Amino acid sequence: MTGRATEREEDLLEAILDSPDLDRAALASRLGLDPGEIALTEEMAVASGRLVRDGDGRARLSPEGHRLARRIARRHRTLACFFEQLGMARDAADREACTLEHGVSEEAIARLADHLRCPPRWNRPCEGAACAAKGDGRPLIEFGEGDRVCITAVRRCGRYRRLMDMGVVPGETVVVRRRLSNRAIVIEVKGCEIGLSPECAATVLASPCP
Amino acid sequence: MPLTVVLVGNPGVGKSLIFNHLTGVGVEIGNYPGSSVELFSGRSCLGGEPIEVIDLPGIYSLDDGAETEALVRRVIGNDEVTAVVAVLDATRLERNLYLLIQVAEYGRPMVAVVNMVDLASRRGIAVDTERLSALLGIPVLATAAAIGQGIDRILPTAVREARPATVEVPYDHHVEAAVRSLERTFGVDRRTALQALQGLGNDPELLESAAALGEEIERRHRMSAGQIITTNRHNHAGAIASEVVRSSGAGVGAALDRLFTRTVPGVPILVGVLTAMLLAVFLVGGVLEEYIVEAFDIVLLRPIAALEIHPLGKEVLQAIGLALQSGFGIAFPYIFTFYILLALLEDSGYMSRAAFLADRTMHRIGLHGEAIIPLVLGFGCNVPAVMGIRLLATRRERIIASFLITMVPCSARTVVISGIVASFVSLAAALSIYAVVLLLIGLSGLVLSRVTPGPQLGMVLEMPVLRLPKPKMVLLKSWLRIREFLAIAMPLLLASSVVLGLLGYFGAIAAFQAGFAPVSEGLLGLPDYASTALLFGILRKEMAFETLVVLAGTAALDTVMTGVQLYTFAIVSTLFVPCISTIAVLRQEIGTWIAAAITLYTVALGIAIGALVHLLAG
Repeated sequence: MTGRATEREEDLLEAILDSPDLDRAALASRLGLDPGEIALTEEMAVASGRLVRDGDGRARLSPEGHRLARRIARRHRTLACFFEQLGMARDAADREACTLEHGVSEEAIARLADHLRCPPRWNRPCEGAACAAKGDGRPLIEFGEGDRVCITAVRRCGRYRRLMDMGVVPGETVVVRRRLSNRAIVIEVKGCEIGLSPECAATVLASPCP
Repeated sequence: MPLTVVLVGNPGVGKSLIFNHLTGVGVEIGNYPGSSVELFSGRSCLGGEPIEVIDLPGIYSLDDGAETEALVRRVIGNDEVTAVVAVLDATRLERNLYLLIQVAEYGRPMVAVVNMVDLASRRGIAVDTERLSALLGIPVLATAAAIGQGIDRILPTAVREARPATVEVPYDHHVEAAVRSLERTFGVDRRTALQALQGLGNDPELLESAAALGEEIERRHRMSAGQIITTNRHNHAGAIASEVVRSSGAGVGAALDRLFTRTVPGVPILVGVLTAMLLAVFLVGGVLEEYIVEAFDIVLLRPIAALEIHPLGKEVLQAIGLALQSGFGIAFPYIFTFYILLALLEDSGYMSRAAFLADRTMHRIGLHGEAIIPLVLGFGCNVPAVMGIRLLATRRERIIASFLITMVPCSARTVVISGIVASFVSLAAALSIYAVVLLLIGLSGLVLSRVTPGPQLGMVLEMPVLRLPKPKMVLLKSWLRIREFLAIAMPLLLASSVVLGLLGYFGAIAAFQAGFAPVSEGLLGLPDYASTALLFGILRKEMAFETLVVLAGTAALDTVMTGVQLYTFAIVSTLFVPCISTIAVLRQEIGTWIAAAITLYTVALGIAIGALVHLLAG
């Protein structure tokens, strides 16, 4: 049987899609529910065929659950992007999107997405923890002239695409050639010198080369 | 359809020089349908058969979302292209190969040209072109475009021997699996699937599926599909480069460069270079202009004045003559001189250093270092400078830059300032107008950077190696720019000059003068005919000066106007309304609304500052 999913069920599926390895307690705190409610919602989703239990009893998304979760996640992204473009802070936009994502029609989302032409993540400015890099190392901007460093991560925001195309990719060795008082730097990568403004240099994480 | 050969490569690999060698002088600049990015195309021939050669704009990657990259993708993807010539810089082969292997994925017949082998060998770098050819599966030529070496082999090889490259990047197995899945589900080719994984393409369903697959990949690798693809390509390019490049020299970085990219003495050098450039334009332009104006007087204007025809016909002919005289009188002495100096700075690689040093200051006014190039270009003429804002990464920066460029005193405004203030008041007063205008540009930038919506992304700028510019390329570049200026500005100049001539003939100017008198006389303290002169300044800035002389009935302006009046007139006409050619190009580049906003803003600013001067000193 596949009746219409409740809001709570949709939130649960979306959370599992985002982080499949969270346990019930973590899911509960993330969704602001108590573990009993999570268990109940899980049961409903299993009954409707959107979740399946794997060998150790953990709930996994079924293909249908996966589809639904992706649809909800897309609604969330579109709505959040819309609110951000209207000038709301990222957290507030996220909260608003969480509420609206369940009721909004597919057509409205499709039209909104067309209207927004949501910029990909790397075309947004870098700010806050939302695009924090995953990886070790310190921002490139903190190294001194002459330091030879290994890139460990590049945050996916700002001029991310151009940086990657110039060869600033994880694993690459670069040399800091020049560092101005205004925190702009020149690095040498793949035999070429590239000037970076401070906000770009701050998005690249590196560690000293062994 | 003639044979078509396109040149593709990174910026600064000598593509334009090769293109110039291949096509000679018959270069056309045009826009690809549906795009504002400029394409250079020219004709050549091989064994009696015509070949169209297209020089694509320099890019670093095909997978960037920007308009330029999208244009290059469309041209390369076009089945009618006979061959794609990938131009590589021998001194930076690895990074250049990164672009080549992306182009290779299009499966078009290709040839690789390893350029700048002369420079490379001086720096102890040797490239094994035979080995490179074997690795890529396409013919590889070694050239030195700067000395014309090897160029003659490019077209014959491209037409007769080009073939699809066999080089293939071994992508991460999760990426390969995702590509296969997309190929199967949507029936697309490998290249389209790879682009979809990076969020590029037109099919929403394909993109949606690719995004879902991309999320899976990201969860496993802690890296996005795009990052993995890019890294795989760089690694493959690195592997190829390490097999074919033998380097015995030192790394990059000359002693001179150390001076240019330090705060001290870099910033003083930058200020000195820019000031010297403007002074040179000012001096050379002033001398040349006199000759040109005189020549037009003798061959065109005096004969027209002597004609005995209907006064209306004479008015029109005179208007055309005046338009030609001042068009050429500005274009060649001032703008062309300026373009030559600018091309020298650009081709030497200095402008990148300037952009880097200026980054922080530019940041305060909502721009980045890269924007210094169009801003400086504005001192020559605002029209090409506004076109130059295409280089900027975001619409926010383009809006701010278009406001500020429009306020930069172009060479026509320099004529007004020097002709009126420097001649009749003092040189210090003339310089103070520059100071006031630059201050207003700074203040406007501060305000605009706060009120203009949109993200500020930062600067990533390649520093090309410093080198001596090639005189021929400098001249060619300046010539193409001045030709572009003439093509846009001249027709508007002619048309508006004739319209104004006719308005004057039928008495409409007098009516305007009467209507504008309260502002002109009351607010600015100027004689009533000054408003007509300001009106003519909308056509061409320097006409404000010429018209003032005509209306005042004397070239000795200081006998009819006070020093304060002359100063007020010059500063108002400098600030107030961009000329009609600039408005036209603003509309084309940034839209009607912003163009209208800029026009209104400058009118208000001009009148406000003029009123302030009148109030304080008048």
